[in-house]
Amino acid sequence: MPENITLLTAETFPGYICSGQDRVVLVFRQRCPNCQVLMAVIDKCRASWPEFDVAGVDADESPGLLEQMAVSKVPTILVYRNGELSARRTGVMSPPELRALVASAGAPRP
Amino acid sequence: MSRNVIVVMLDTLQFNYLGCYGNAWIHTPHIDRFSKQGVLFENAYTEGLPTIPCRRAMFTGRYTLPVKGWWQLDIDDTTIADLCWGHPIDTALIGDAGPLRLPKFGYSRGFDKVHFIHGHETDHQYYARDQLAGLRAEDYFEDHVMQSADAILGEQVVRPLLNQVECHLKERQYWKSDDDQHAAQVMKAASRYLENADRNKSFFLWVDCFDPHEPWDPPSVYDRTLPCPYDPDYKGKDMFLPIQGHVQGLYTEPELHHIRMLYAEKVTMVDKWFGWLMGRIRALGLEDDTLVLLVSDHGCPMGNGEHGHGIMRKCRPWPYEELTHIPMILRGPGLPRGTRVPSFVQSCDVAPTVVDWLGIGVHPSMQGKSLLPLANGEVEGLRDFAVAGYFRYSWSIITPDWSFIHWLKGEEKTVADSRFGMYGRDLAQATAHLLQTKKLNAVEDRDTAFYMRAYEEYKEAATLDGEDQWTCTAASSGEVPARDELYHRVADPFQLRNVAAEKPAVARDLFERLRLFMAELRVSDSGAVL
Repeated sequence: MPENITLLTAETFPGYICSGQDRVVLVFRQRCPNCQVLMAVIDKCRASWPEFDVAGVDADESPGLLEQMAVSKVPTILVYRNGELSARRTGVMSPPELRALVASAGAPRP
Repeated sequence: MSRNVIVVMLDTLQFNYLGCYGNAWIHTPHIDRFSKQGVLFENAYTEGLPTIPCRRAMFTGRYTLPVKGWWQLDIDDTTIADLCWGHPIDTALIGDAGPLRLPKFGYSRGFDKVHFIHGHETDHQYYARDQLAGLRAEDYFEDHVMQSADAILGEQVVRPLLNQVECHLKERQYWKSDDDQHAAQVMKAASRYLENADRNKSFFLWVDCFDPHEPWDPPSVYDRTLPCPYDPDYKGKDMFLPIQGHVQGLYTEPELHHIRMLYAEKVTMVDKWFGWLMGRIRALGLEDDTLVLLVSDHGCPMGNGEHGHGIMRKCRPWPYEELTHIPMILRGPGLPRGTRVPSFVQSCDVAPTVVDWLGIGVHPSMQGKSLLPLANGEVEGLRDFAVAGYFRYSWSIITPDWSFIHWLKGEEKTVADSRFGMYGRDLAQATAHLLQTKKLNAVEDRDTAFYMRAYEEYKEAATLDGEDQWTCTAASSGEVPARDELYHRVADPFQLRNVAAEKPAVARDLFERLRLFMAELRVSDSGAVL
């Protein structure tokens, strides 16, 4: 887990997604190579947009939360706007694809 | 002084059918001599398979395996020819590879001069309306094959193949000697280009010779006075375009052997014409300023065991040694002569090598590496492993000690489904216009059937988002799938004894390295490498 991604739990998740206009959540597993690569992509996006904020949900630690989010595969990126899910995508993606996903939810482009 | 490059791409040239790669009985004196004049890469592997993704990797210097299969050149791709624009470099593509000319695929983009020779496999319909005299397609299939193939393979294969063979015979009836074979035509066209090249400028010439790709119709097939030099006593029919499929029950071992001997004879014929072109390069005084790279896109499954793991031709997405290990030999002024390099090199190294030699800079999108520092002994190796496979079907990782194959799907269903997935599915976008303007007097064969099915599935095409290879299931343990295969590369180079169950730690390590590398490639966009 990268140091600069806030780890969410079932208790902190509801408050986080309502805490701002656009909130990006990464669901991951520690031993998933695709998740490792997507985290590197997030870091790369941050280099050009430091305010790009992503919180993480560890799939192994929060199975109930996964069920609540209807996530069966990782990595999955979910974008919440004012607490409501507005975009999601599963699998690795390149920096342009991640930027496009976040933009599709109405958030400023990283 | 101008610096020139000639890439000679010989399709389906299996490495172990060459003397310089250890074959002791097939005559390839010209390629063997060429290897003694240059640098031979012992562990060269293709990457995405088959024809089209191989070319894409060579042209762009990028891995294709995680991103695209049988697909057109995209506007985001930057090719060697694209990079030559604006420099004093003339570019030319000369060849007869039908797939490279597929409608809207655009692989001739950027070349200043393009010369295409009609009639080879996949372009065989070019001769469909010619009258055939004195030859019959049925004379090139054994009766038991024609009678049983449809039932054994579970689809109609005989009639389309007879049509294809007939088209080839319609072209071949005009040949007068081996001077007229496709390899000869391609090399002579390349020579004509060289004779007219402006020596005050540089040139980049890509010679794309589809031989020794099937049909395997070397001199002994069209000249009945000549015995096949590698199987002179064979009495059966010359099945020079064997039906694709599992060989069990379809061919006898002597038949399979003879098919391979026809291929071997074809390799010798191609070697002769490669040698002829090298002679022309020497006579034209080009050796002192020209880099020549000999490479192939892949080998070919041709039977049981090490010959093809039970299949004939590329009808299953099986990335075994006989298909993925390729010859690659580099010769240029100032480069070492007679050197053999064990480091892994891949087809995506072709483009960086060419632009490096031309001095126009390796493009930042290229993931391959220039071979020049390796050839010169300035570095010991370029990478710790090679990868190869079929988009959406199979990934393999090859290390000095091991090879590991990861299957992206469960068991493939039929050969027809496999072939459609490998060749046909992604054709739809590029070939939809053909369906709107039905070809006059078109003969239905497997290629046209591909177009039809691709068109039907076009609107239902899946995206890559969320496909299994890019995800883990939330509950999975990351264990190596039971279908995956591990082989000891030193003791078992042709992958005949799967030891995945005996070496689970090795299998798991390779599985994780492979998945991580593929994911890194997948997110590396053409503008910025991660």
